[in-house]
Amino acid sequence: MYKKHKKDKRNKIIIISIFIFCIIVGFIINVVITNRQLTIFEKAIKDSVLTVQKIISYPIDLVINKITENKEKDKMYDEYLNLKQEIANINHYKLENEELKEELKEMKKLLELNNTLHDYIQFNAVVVNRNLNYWNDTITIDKGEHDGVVIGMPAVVGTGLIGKVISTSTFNSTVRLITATDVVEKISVKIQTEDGYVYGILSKYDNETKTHIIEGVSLTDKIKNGSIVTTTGMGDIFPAGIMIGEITGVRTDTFDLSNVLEMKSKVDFDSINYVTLLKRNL
Amino acid sequence: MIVIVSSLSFILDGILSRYLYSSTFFLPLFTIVSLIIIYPYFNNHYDKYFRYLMIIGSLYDIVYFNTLFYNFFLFILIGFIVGFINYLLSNNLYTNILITSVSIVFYRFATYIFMVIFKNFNFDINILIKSIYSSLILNIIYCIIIYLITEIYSKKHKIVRSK
Repeated sequence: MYKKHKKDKRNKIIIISIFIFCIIVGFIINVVITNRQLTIFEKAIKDSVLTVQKIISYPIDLVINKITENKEKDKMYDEYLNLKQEIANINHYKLENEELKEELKEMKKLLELNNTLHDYIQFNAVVVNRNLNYWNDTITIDKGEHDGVVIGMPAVVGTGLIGKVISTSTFNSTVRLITATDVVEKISVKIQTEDGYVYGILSKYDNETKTHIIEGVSLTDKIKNGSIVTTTGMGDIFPAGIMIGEITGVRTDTFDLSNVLEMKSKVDFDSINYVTLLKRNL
Repeated sequence: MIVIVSSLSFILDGILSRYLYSSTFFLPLFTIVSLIIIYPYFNNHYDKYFRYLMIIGSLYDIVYFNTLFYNFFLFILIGFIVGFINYLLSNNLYTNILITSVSIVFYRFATYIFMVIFKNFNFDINILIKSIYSSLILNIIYCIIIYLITEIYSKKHKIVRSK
C-alpha cells in the first residue's frame, strides 16, 4: 500500500514536471519567433547596459575615427578634384529640384492632396552593437522612443534600404536587416526598365549568393541586369523611391509561370555605423 | 573577481560585435567564455553558480536578444557542461580551452537547431560549421588571456579557487 502510494506520488511529480517543462518550452518558442516587446523594467535594464557600453566604447571610437581620418587624408586630393567637377553641376540640379518642388506643391494644392507616398521625415542614429546571434541579422541603434522612434520605421544608409525597426526601448532601438534569413515580411518593389516600371515582391535573402530574390514578375516583362530596384511605397511601412539595389540575374520560377529576379544591394552590410530612420508622413 | 570578469565580458561582447562583425573569423561570445573562467571561483557552490548563470542569461536575453528564458536555459545547460568537464578533469588552461570549444559548439548547434525547427530556416551544415569556426578562434584567445590574468591576480591576492 505504502509502495503504491509512493509510486503514485512519483508519477504525479513526473507528469507535473513534464507539463511545466512543456509550458516553459512553448513560452520560449513564442518569445523567440514573435517580435516581443520589452517591458518597462526590461527597457530600463537594456538602456542602462547600453549606456555603459557607449561610455566605454567612446575612446575606442575616437581612436578608430582618428585612424580612418588619417587613412582618408591620403585620398583627399583625388576626392577634391572629383567633387570640384560635381560642384559645377550642382547649381543646375538645385534649380531643377526647386522647380520640381514648386510644381509638386502646386499639383498637390490643385488635387487637395496632403501627402504622397514619397513624404517622410528623417533623422540619424549611431549603431551601438550588432547581433551576437549568428542567424538573426539585427543592429541596435542609439535612438529610441524618447527620440520618436516607433516600431516599423524603415532604416536606410546612403546607398539604400537596410531594414526596419522591430523593437524599441526608451533610448535605443533594434533594427532587423533585410539580409536576415528569417525575414517574414515582404517588401513591394518596382524595377526600372526602358518602358517604365515593373512591380514585384522582395521575398527572401539567399545567404550563399548574397542576393535578394524578387518574385511575382510577369514573364512578358523584359528586365536587364543592372536595372535599379526601389520601394513602391505601397503598404504601411516603406515610403516610395528608396533605393534597394540592382538586378544581377533573371530566371523563371519552377513552373515557368513568372520571372524570379536576383538583386544585389549596394549597401555594405558588414560595416554599418550610422543609419537614417524614416518616418512616413501620412 | 566574478563580477568583474563577467561584466567586462558582457560589455565587450556588445562593443566588439560592432567592430569585428565584418571579419569571418572573429565573432565574440565572451560572456560564455566568462562562465567557464568564473566557475572555479564558486568553490563547488553549485547553487550559487547556477543562480549567477540565470542572472547573466536573463541579462543577455534582454540586452542583446529582446527575448526571455532563451539564453537563460542555454546558459544553464552550458553550466552543466562546465561542471561535468571540471568534475572529470582538473581545472587548468587546457581544460578551459577544451570547455570553451565544447560550449561554443554546443551554443551554436543548439541555437541553429532551434532556428531550423521553429523559424523555418533551411538546414545547411556549411552555415552551421561556418558559424562555429568563426566564433572559435577569438574566443579561445580571449579564454587564454582572461585565464592567465585571473590566475595571476588570484595568486597575488590569495583568492581561493577549486582545482
